[in-house]
Amino acid sequence: MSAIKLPLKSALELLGCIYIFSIFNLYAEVAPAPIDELEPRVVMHQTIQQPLDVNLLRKIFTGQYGTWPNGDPVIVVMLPIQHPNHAYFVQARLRMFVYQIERIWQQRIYSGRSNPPTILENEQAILEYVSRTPGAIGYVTGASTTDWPVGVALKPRVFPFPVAI
Amino acid sequence: MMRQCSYITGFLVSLVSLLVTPTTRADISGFIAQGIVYSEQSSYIDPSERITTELTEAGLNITHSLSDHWHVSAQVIYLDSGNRYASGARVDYAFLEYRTVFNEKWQGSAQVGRFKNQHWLYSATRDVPQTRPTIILPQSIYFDGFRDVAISSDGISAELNYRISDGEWRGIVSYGNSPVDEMQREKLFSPLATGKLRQDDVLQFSAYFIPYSQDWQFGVSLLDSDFSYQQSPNDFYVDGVATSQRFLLHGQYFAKDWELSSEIMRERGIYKDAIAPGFYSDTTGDGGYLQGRWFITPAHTLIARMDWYDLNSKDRRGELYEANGLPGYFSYMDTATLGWQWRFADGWQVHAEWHWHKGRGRLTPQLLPNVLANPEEYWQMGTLQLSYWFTL
Repeated sequence: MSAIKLPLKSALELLGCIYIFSIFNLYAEVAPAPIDELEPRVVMHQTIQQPLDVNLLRKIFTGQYGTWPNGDPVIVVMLPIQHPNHAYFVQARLRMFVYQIERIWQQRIYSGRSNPPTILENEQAILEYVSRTPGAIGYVTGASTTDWPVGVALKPRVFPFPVAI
Repeated sequence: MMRQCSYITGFLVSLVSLLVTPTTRADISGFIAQGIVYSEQSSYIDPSERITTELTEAGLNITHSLSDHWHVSAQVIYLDSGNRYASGARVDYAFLEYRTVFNEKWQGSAQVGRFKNQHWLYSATRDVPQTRPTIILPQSIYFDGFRDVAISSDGISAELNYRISDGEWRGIVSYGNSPVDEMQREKLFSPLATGKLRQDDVLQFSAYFIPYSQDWQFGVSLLDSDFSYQQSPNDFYVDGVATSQRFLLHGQYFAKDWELSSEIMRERGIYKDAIAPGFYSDTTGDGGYLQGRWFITPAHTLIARMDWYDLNSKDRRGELYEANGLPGYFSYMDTATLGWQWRFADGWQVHAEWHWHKGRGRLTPQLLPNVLANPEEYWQMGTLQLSYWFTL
């Protein structure tokens, strides 16, 4: 078995490649990231200007945050509990489990402490509802945000994670 | 005081209902559940029947947002559960609530009227079939004989939430009382009691911590409640007072496919007169449960639980009962439970469970146990319930 030798020319070529890769990487950091088709995003009505973090999102999506700073009621819009994108959003983004979210909602609804969330069958319906309802907030996957429903005049604000304004 | 609070509650709800405008938001939710129960040689549900359908629950609630901060909410419920509770309809809660966010760390709310007990893990939703882990909750903590007294109070409740970098603290304090009608008096006291039993007041406090990771929560709660009994003509009992004090610890751990819950408590009961002039009793009981739930699929859940309860920690085998001519097994009740939950469609659920009991210390009436209907130390019970719930 012969020892691997690295000639000077090859070493320079390697350094050159690393440099070019670094430049590409720097460019990649400032360039817009491509939309991941499965990436859940928070969508909310244009009039909401509230900065969001995961803690606040947990409060919102468990019915524990009732009013936006502008006075609009928080209207939570969700997919049905069996929808795979609901589970993905809850686990990947809120870092909770579906049964935990459901338990908190049921506890709050049946002790009169929260209005129930609005459940819509699909993401297009969520986009349409959020775009026309002041105070509404929901979630959709990246794919849905590239395909706006017909008739939506005022597009909702869309935020990837981590969310920040 | 109790009647006044009921009037106040009714007035508040009527008043705010008149204030509703088309711009405010109202949501209506409800549920209906029917089940069957099998039990042998037990007065828990119905001593005359082995199989009974006395397991009916139906409720309707409305939550109305009047403004950014003001909300009103109410729920009426109908129950038919044999000897477990007084059958019939009642107002479970009806209150006016003020909610506010002080800043990004502090959040608070206050309720006035008839509010639900939020202090224990399942206290706020013990009456809602689809929210319970089992049809019959662990009787050490959620004693059915105290259901109406424990589930809500007429008075005032306040909650404060404080967020820190590692998680969130939640503190609740409440003060009020609950009306006790004739049927409840018979279950709590005895069928021979014909006087007036009232809960004078109940003060409760609880504090919970939920970490940022959300994978567990831990809480502690305290309860102090006073009762009084007023003798009626030809009454078997006499005027007297009673005090109930509880100290509880609550904990839950959440994993992706399973959940572990536990609550333990010590309960002090002080009775003065009531049974007979000069009677005095001061005993401390304890109990608790450990419960595991396994979420096999989103639709199927298995439940296993062990529940322990001793009426008097200094007489765990019931020797004092036996000295008074009563079976010792009325002083404790330990229960093993296995259950299955199936959500077969949106808003539909089937619950099935089996309970193996040792002892009868959580059967009503506690002061005068029904020995004829409960002749054995060991007994079993099976329940099956179909539930449907909706939001309009």
